[in-house]
Amino acid sequence: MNDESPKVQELKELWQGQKTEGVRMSVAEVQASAGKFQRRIQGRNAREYVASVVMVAFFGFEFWRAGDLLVRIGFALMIAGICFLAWQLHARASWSPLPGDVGLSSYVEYKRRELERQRDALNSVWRWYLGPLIPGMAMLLVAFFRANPGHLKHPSFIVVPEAIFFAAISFGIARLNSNAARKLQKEIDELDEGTR
Amino acid sequence: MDVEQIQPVKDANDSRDSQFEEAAAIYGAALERLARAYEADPDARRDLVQEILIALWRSFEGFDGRCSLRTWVYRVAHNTAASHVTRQMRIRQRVFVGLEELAELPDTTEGEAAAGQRDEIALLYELIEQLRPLDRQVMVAYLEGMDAASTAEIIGLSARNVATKIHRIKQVLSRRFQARRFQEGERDER
Repeated sequence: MNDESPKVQELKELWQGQKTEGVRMSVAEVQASAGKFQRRIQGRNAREYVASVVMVAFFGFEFWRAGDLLVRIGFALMIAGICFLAWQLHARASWSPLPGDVGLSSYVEYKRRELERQRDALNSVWRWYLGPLIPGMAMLLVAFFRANPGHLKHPSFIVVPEAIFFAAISFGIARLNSNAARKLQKEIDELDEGTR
Repeated sequence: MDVEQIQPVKDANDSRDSQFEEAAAIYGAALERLARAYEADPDARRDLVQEILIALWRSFEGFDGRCSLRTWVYRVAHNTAASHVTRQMRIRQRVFVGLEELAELPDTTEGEAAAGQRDEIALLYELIEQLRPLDRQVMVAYLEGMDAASTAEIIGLSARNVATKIHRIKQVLSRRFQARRFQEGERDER
């Protein structure tokens, strides 16, 4: 039984009969635009790595300046950690145009893949975002106390507050990401519900 | 590369180009209507249409006829436009609703409708712009005259689910636009 009212049918006709601007592109124009588009994406992704480049330059300068071996090892580990982090950001979160096979995927399939990618990145934040920086920071802390043994006389004034502060920040970041990952999982479950 | 290697590549490119031209000729106007459903700003909308056309051209490299041209074109268009909306959501912090919530929202256009100041297409777009991408796709497909099965193939929902959403769409449209017609009738009588 058709439960479509005359008014709704009228709206459909109104919709389909709309005047459009006539935006059209020839194949040559599309090819030229595709090239410009790709270069814009590359520029956008490159800007996201500026912070990493600045940090590597800073730690590289400190590495060159440092005389102590442990401090140099600490800075070298920080540089390695930042490079690893930047590579992971590129692999997990850089913005890319829709894949060429976008027509093979329904919206649900395409959206699901995106949500899963983001969820997995958030769930593994310790492995690829916080973790890589720990070796360098730990080594620099060891090198600092080795060079300033006087500070160890009152560890509770420095070591404990620093350790608590770092643990709190890390826990907070991990907790926020875990909550965000749960929300994404909820969206994935809602999408799956709609396919049944 | 010798001529025998160049020719298949050239043929593949010609095929992609001609498929694109065919799709643009048949679905060009529908793609503009679809873009309007996802983007209200005229300049951003023109960019979105171009983005869809670029994605369509690129996608034909992988088109092997396993689905109809219409399904392919609408999948590319909706996925591109939905991606655009997701980016805009992050920038503009917009919140969208589903069809069920839209049915329950009060009709804020009653006053303007009674004054006859808004045309129906503008009101239709206002409704659509409130919807989450998935429900927006169902609404647009319905207005384009597609049945539940075709819409389900494009979007990836079950046909049963799409049919339920279409039923909801009819209710929302009837309620909003019949009420408006009634108010206009009352005004004319006065």
